[in-house]
Amino acid sequence: MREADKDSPRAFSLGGEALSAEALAPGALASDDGAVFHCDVSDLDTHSFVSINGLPPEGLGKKQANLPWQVYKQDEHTWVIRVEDGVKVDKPLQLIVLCKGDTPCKAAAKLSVSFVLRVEMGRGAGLTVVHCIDSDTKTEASVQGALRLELAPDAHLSWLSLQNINNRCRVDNDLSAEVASGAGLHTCFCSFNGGVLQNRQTIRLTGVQAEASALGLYLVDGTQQVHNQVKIEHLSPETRSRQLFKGILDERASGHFEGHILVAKDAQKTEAYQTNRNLLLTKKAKFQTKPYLEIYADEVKCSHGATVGQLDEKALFYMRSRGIPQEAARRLLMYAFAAEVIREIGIAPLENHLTRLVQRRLRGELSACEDCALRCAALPNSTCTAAAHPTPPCATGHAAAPQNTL
Amino acid sequence: MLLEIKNLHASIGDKEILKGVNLSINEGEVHAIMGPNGNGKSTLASVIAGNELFTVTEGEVLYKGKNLLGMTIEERACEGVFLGFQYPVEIPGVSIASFMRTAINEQRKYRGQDPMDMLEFAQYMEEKQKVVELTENLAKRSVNEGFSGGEKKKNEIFQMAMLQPSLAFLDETDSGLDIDALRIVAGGVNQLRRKDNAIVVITHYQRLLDYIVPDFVHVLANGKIVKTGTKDLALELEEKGYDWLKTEGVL
Repeated sequence: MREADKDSPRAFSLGGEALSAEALAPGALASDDGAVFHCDVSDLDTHSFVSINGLPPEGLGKKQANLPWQVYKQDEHTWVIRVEDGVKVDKPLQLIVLCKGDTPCKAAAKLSVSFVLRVEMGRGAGLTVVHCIDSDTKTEASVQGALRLELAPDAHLSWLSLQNINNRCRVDNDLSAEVASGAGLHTCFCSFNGGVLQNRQTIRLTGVQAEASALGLYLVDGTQQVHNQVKIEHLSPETRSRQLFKGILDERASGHFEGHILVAKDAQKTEAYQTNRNLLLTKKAKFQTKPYLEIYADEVKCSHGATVGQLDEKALFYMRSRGIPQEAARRLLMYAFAAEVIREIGIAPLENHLTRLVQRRLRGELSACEDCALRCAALPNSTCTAAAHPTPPCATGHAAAPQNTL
Repeated sequence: MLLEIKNLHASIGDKEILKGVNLSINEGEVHAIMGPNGNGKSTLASVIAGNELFTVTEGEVLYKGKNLLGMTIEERACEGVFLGFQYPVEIPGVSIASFMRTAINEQRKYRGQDPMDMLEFAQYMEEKQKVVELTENLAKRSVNEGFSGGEKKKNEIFQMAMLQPSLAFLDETDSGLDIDALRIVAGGVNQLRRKDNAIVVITHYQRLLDYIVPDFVHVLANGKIVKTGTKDLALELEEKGYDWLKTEGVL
């Protein structure tokens, strides 16, 4: 376990530009239970919806007619996002799933959170969704999310999932998507904290020239586990897909990646690429990676590559020989490793936000509590005592839990 | 004296490579180290920089009167030791700007100076790029990634210009360079010669020494410095080859 070197915050900068903490002052919005939710992507203007423990936000009504786009409640556990033909939603939709017990700072009874989220994208529609799963520090929750995405021809959907929950929680995300001709789906699953984080995706490219990219970034330590399972089915000609999953595992963290590319007999001229790269920082960290290509067409371009390795010792020596201390050099290399995924997201404020999260995570500063949506101390009727929550909130709880030392 | 190497022995695994190197270097001097392949030239440079692949088994190295071998790699750099790599390392995803800015500010911190601000750094970088005629905007390119052989070596000298070391070991900085690049790289090194620093060039070719004229030429063979002379020694070696030293009885 390595201590974060807090004396060298300048170790990280992007293209010579230091990241400004001031630019990321929290914005606030109210969720339906009166709690104040602080969104720290303040330079990202979003339509936000907060769900407590997976329930559709209280204010959501039934489906309405004549709306260019809407979020509505279908039943107790199902909410639907619908974007009509040709409508490009002006700003990203932020969906926050909070897992919290009645007393956010005390261990509560085990919580089961499940929800179904359907997204219906009309012809040529466009939308970006930021899906955050957060928890308070103590609640033991099991989150099951079913994500059902349907993209009509020429629709475009970007789906970014951020998982930052306490180590008592597990998440099982099950995403399945149908992508029609000319449509594009881009998913990115970022796993920063959680006991067990499991993301399964099945993306079916059903129409000609449909395309998909599935990205993933996981930074885990302690005994955290992260599993990503991706299946992309190329069912029509000239479809394209790309998978890029990268992760850093510290201490006794473990995980696996399964990347399945299926190219059906008729799906000629398919292009499909898959990459999975992992850094293990200790001898006890474990990772299994399994590429699986199933190809029935004969005119395709497919590739896959997987590595499980350590930080490049030659690069470390090179950097140290220029005066960069070992710890800072390690963090710079780890950050560079992770940045390859972040750069692909293509939405600047989100990239900046993620950059900041990753840097803080690598310095050991990001905890499920501190960056979680629930700023316990900000709750007007907080039951937390000052003793349990010095500023910043929950610092004590995290100092005791050796989970953030990447 | 800037650097004093006394009876330095170093091994990699069980294999002893340096077998008693003695070398003294003063400020303001340029030394050239020549010698056959696999006889310890690069090892010497690596050991001075602190490469942990090598184990020092005997001897002493004093740098500015301090025990160099007791310092970490980064401490040596912050104290002014620089190694120009024979094979510069590619660091995907780390831009040259962020690499150099981190290095400079870490070195400044070590010396108790305030970090360089962004604007000052950008101007400084632009100025130092000119030393090796790197006109292209380097800032956003990843360190050495996709660089040609010539660009990699220019980048080493550019870093040397940025960091302004007191002692620079340049390990085969001329290898893989065409004539034009050689002239630029050597010209850059010459611009960086000062009365208060020293440069050690490790090379196979006398050609480099036409551009960077050394005060001393050493032959390192079989883990030791077997002969020391002036720049004329390099000419003699070029003409007669290392076999000549065998007949001289020093090898």
